[in-house]
Amino acid sequence: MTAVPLGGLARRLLRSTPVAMALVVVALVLAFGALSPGGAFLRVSNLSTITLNVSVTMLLAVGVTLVMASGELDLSIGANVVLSSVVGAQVLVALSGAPEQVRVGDYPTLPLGIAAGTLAAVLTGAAFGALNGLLVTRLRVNSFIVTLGTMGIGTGLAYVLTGGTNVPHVPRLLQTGFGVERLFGVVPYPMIVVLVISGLLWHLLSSTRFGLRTLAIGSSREAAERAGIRVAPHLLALFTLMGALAGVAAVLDLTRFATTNVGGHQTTALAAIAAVVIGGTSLFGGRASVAGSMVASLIPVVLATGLVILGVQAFWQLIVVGVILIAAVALDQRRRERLL
Amino acid sequence: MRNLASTLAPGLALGLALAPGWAAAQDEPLSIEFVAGIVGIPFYTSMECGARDAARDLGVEMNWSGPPQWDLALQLPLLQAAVERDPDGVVLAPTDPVALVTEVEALMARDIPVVTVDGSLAEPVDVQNMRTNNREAGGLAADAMAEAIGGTGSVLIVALNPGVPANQERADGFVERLQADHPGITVLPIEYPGTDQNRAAEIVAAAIQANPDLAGIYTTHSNAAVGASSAVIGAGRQGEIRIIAYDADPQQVRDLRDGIYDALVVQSPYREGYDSVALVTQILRGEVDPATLEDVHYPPMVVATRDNLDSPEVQGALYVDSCE
Repeated sequence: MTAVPLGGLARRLLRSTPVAMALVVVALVLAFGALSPGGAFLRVSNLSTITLNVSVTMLLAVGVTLVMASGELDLSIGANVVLSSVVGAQVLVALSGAPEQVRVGDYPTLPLGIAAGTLAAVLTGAAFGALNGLLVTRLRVNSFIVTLGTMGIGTGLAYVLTGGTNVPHVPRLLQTGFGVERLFGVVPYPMIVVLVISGLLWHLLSSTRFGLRTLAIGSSREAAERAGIRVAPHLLALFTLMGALAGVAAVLDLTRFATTNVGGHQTTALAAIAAVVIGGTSLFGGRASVAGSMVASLIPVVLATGLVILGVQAFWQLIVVGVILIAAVALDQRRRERLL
Repeated sequence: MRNLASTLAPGLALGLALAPGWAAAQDEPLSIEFVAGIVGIPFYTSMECGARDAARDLGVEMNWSGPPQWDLALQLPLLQAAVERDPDGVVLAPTDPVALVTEVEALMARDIPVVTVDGSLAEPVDVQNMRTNNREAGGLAADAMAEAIGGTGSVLIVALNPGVPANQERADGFVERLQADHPGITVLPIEYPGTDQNRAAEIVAAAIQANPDLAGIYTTHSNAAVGASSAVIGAGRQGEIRIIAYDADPQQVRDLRDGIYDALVVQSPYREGYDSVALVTQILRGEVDPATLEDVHYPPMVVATRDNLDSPEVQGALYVDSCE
């Protein structure tokens, strides 16, 4: 972060990409609210559903923010989500009852299954992330290539474990009791999980020594090493953290749909990385904003929902989303250049 | 097996007169290679059961293989290995309509009859193609939808990607039948979430907000169905907004029973497996003259609802995880 000149808070807010992107989101919400028939877009139920739909992307974007702050990249998170959800679902189903019981929808030991399945998913994700970290630091291969490779490995492993089909007999209760359930009928439970974790990671990046070191490594690895930061263990920790977040995302995904998604999440990594860059984090490290990533991850979902509500034809939706994303980032850059 | 083959020998001799081109009968049983489009999913497992039953009933040897993914690059080596085993006949589920034309042509030129199932080829170089009539299936789904929602309201179609003909036909057949026979129903613009469940859920959630009269959702593939049901349950509208889904995996059948879905369009993988092996056998034995065959044969389909789910007709058509 650059030093804030006199003139204080107002100027700082004006130059902040997260604030700018929040304004974009608010503008979109108001525009869709005005245009949608009967103001359907502004209904609480709609805004609440948007936060549910954004939850997994937002969580992953927050993780990617930390990885990119250190100048690294993780393309394998979509594959990690798939693999972790497969392992989690298999453990969950296996420990929730005997095969002939779960086949007919009877889960006598469901609490045990859920606890073990959740743990298995998060541990799988963390192990996947640790593998990425080890490959990056020990083999000294660029993280773009390493995670491109592990993306294939993770997807392949998920196929091997399942024979290419979704894990059967995942209890529907995960969905009706948590995945689509809302606190006070408004705040989706998965979103609460995402907000709590994001808050912790925001604090980690902006107010702790760990966060400072992450940004230092991203600014200049050599300088960080000369200053005595042990870069390799730090990167290993970051990748492991990213992996664990993918494991959490896998659990949220599993509860949301009550099934695994072995053919899916092919564009998840791209969506998360895009949100991070739009939110003001540098692709080359050293400058990062958790808040920016969180706000920016809302833009595609707000757009998608709004365009469907307006009845825009599916083919045109793709075009409009692309145009608005580029326009938002271009405007933000112009604005910051003028304020410098 | 050997006994059965020799008792059929007179029939074979007669057949040779009808179709002199095909592989000559020997004492050993006919061997048929079945190369599936993908293995491990209930649809193809059901097809395998049909193929095995036909092979047992007709006294031929059938060897089943298939790739773990619907991928030409994975299927091609399996097809080549199957050809190396020097079969009398081949059943193939082509994973690519264009790329496999030359392979099939080469087999046919060697007097090895090829029947294709599920997918189809760009040129009818095979003896026959057996596949679901997707347009008709869409029509059946439309009739089921009209019945489920009482003939009025809006319906949303959640398809796959543009440019996937078989899937597009499922949507087009649905729209055509609604427009022709059920004018009280409004069809919203077709949505294409691809295989992304989350995107499907996003679209359906938005459509629920935008259309207070949304009465039904028709999904043309299982990922869309999963996303749609998640959005409908999340909106607290389960039972009010009817979902009609494609295919009848055990999990989907359970969801039909539980009220998540209101009808399932059930294809006929077992029949495709059984009939394709039977047809190749009949051609090899000279009981059927390939010249008299239609290019395409559509096996019958059923629509499963909670009302007819336990009927023998529907039970026999549901997909299975393993052959029993």
